[in-house]
Amino acid sequence: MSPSGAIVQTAHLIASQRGGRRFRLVTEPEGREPRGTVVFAHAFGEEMNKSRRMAARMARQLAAAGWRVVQRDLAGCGDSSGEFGDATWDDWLADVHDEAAAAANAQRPLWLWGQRAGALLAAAAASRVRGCHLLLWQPVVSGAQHLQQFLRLHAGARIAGTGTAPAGPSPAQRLRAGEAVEVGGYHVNPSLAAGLEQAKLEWPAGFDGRIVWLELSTLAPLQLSAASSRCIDEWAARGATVEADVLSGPPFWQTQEIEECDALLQRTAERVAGEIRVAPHTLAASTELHHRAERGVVS
Amino acid sequence: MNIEDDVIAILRTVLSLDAGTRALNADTPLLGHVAELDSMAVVSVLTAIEERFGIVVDDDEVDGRTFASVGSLVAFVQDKLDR
Repeated sequence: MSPSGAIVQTAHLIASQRGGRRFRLVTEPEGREPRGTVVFAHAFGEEMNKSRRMAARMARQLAAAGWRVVQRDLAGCGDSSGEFGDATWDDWLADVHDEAAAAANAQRPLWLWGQRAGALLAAAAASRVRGCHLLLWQPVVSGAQHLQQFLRLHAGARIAGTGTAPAGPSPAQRLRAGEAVEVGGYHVNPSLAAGLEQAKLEWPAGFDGRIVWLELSTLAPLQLSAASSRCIDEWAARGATVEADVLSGPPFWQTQEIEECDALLQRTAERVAGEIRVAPHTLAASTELHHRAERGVVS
Repeated sequence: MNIEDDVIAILRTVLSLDAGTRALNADTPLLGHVAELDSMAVVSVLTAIEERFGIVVDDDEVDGRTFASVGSLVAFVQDKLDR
């Protein structure tokens, strides 16, 4: 199968069982049966926008390599119906689960690909869909911390000294009181915030698929973030085999300018294709793997 | 780990500062001197620091003084790690 195979993209507006319509983009090989399906769960808020280009490039590259890639805009996001402010965490869980369940009917591999907060959704869906694999891009391991980081935009002007402390209760306090808030141009309802806040990246019980965990760093030596390291250790202690790699590249989901990282696209394609099956459990091993790859020993 | 090196690397990455044209060390003033450090960037830098060092920063713990210089930011991280 040619890695530069022709691809075709189709856009759909589909009815959700929870009401409204969802936008779904399918990128797949043209004129060939796909070798499997990859279902994408996108990041939260501004991180989704910053990551759009990388996600689109990844989808095209995987499709050229024979995969059918399904990208659904979660409820209230992108071109799906509804307002962001009306979306709930359960809506998003259902969106990812519905796509995964639909694709799992085929007798072909299924990957659930979650980026940042999307990793929380993908891992939750993986616990309910048999026989799938998990692909995690810089996963958020604590929904509570992710929510706090998002709400911090509210305090940014005060911290930067360009504004005064906003009067009244903080957004976190208002959400806990059951009020909707607006932060950084996003209306967030208390149900979405509560769901995100309670979400933790958990190893799906009894999961027997592959887990590919990819992170980018600009630090030397390359290493997983402290939180990821702890999470992977916990998963490993429960019997999970995590194929973790740290690559050198910018945090494109949060940089001021739109950034890209070809190494991440390449490594993802290799991992998903099964061309690299090394499963480093430890930080040292994963870093070593990367260094070997840099020298061309593994590619 | 060298906290100062990591904090500088985070600042460079998040603010897209070119190493060739902008030297950063502990004495480098930040807020009011590095134009790229706006309110959005401050938030991104804090997020990157939390994820790199595995710490949780409460909004009330930080203000303009934390971001006065590279050195003050490094001291803040060191203090969090020591606690």
